[in-house]
Amino acid sequence: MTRPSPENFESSVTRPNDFDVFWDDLLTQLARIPLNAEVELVPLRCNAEIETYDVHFDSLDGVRIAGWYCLPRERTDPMPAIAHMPGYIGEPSIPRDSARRGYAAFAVAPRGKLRSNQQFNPGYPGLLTHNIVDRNTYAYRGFYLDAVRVVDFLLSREEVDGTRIGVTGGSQGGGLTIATAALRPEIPVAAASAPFLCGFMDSIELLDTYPYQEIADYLRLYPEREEAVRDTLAYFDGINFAPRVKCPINVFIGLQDNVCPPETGFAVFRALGSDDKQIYPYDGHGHEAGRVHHTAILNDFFETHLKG
Amino acid sequence: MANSSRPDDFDTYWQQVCRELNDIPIAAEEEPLPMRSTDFCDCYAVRFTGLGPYRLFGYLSIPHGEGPFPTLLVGPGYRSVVEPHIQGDSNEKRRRFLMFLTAGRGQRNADKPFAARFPGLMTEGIDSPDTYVFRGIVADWLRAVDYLLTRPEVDRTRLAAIKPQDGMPLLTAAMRPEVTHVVATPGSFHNVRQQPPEEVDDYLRLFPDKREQVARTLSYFDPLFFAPSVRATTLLWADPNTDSELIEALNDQTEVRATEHSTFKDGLYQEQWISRQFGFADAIVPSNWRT
Repeated sequence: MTRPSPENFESSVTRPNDFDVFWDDLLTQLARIPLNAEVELVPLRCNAEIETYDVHFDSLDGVRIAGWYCLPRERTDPMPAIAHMPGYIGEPSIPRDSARRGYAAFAVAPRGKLRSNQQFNPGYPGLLTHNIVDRNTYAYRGFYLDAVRVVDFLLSREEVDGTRIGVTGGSQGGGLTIATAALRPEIPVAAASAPFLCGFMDSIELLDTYPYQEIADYLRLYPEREEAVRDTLAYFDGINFAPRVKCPINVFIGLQDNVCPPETGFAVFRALGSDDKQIYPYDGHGHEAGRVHHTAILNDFFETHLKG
Repeated sequence: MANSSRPDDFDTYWQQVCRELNDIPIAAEEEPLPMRSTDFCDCYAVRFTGLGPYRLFGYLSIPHGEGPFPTLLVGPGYRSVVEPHIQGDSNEKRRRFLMFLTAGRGQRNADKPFAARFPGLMTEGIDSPDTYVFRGIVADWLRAVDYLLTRPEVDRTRLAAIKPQDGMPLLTAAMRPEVTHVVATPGSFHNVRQQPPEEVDDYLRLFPDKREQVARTLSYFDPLFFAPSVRATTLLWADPNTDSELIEALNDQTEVRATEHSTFKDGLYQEQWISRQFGFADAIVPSNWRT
């Protein structure tokens, strides 16, 4: 049987009536928490071109969050910045490439990642289903706001031009990019590849691969909780964040993505509220989303919007 | 970085590792994981002891039905997380293959008392081959094979070590001839003189006087020096231009393939290769890879 075109896929995700209220309340809570940022130079990770700093700050529920912050040694302040969002199973790498291209670059380790797991550590597998029946304690509630908190950190920096902060990431980082751009309208530009956390419940129907399989595993054991799970995930689904994204945004996906089904990539793209949005579907590519073809396009995109 | 040359005591070094490992009981414990089991396979959390002694971890998935089963070992990689199944692979693969995905020392679930840092692990103890953390991590791969060989469900004629972004399966197959098939790349320890891993570069920038010491340590882990001992049938993801020395050192049962920079194209080829090698007409792949 021929597979239906992923472009025409209709998502089952519905937007809760109080979606915006839920997140605006959390943003208010977050804003009341002092950043308490600590920034320490790491000589081992510096080189002739780049300074690297180990950063820690406070986020929702007082959880201490770590990140890597890179600055080009030669720069004119204030400078544009790029926030890098991490994938699901990897640890954030040091964002030297972006610093080399002339940006203040930050790579965050949201709660549960190795460098931010002293107070919260649901593990992997685990993060995706931790308290999944309760939107008020679900793992991604704090995790998303840890990503958002990066914007506060960058805005606090004298060397950063607060009107020129871009956000980007792939897979889970793509989902976090969409959530961050939605929750922080001052973000002027975003780029997401192979976005995870978009169409959770669709994805477990479309594919049988991890990490989404964690949710299928959970529901196999607790089928009676499906409604509660669906209700919770609706508050965290990128497709529901998308209408709040108004900035220029670039999405690239692989049409044979075996981790984040391309159907969900198209669905979240269609839901984006931006008038300036572009999708690049790469045929013959999987979860790496055609990065070999797309990197130059992505670099130009950020150059245009952050340095143009 | 000095050129990599085979250390005079290379064989002695690894014989000593194997001897130490042989003296340590595996002492495996299997705990059923209902959450990760399905109507076609049972999944277990396995704790077992490696060099040190050090307690290791793995996810063991055994198909329902009568074995023995073709077996895939996915040993420790360079990341903190080990998932119950290979990310992006169809869960249905667990219907056909016995699978063992293991965490080496420092990775999650095997991070007590040693918790690895990323970045950081690559240079842990790198000043000497005797203290380098990868002495233990290579042994963790070997230990995973040892554990599998205790399981009656493992088909000893079809036991593959796979890690398509890593050279470790080559080292494992060289020291565990029971491994029948390998999928690997040259990995981080090959061609370090041309392409030192970024973490090693960082370390040498801070400690330039240790250049010779570090080069010596890494030479014990270069797959080039293990290649002549690999008897397994191998799929090597490599560049014939830069990796020719390694390719020539491997046996004639080696297929060399260059990446197409597509996880779909590379992944599909690999699934078909391993299925073919194990005597299956079809590969079990995610639904959107089926034509």
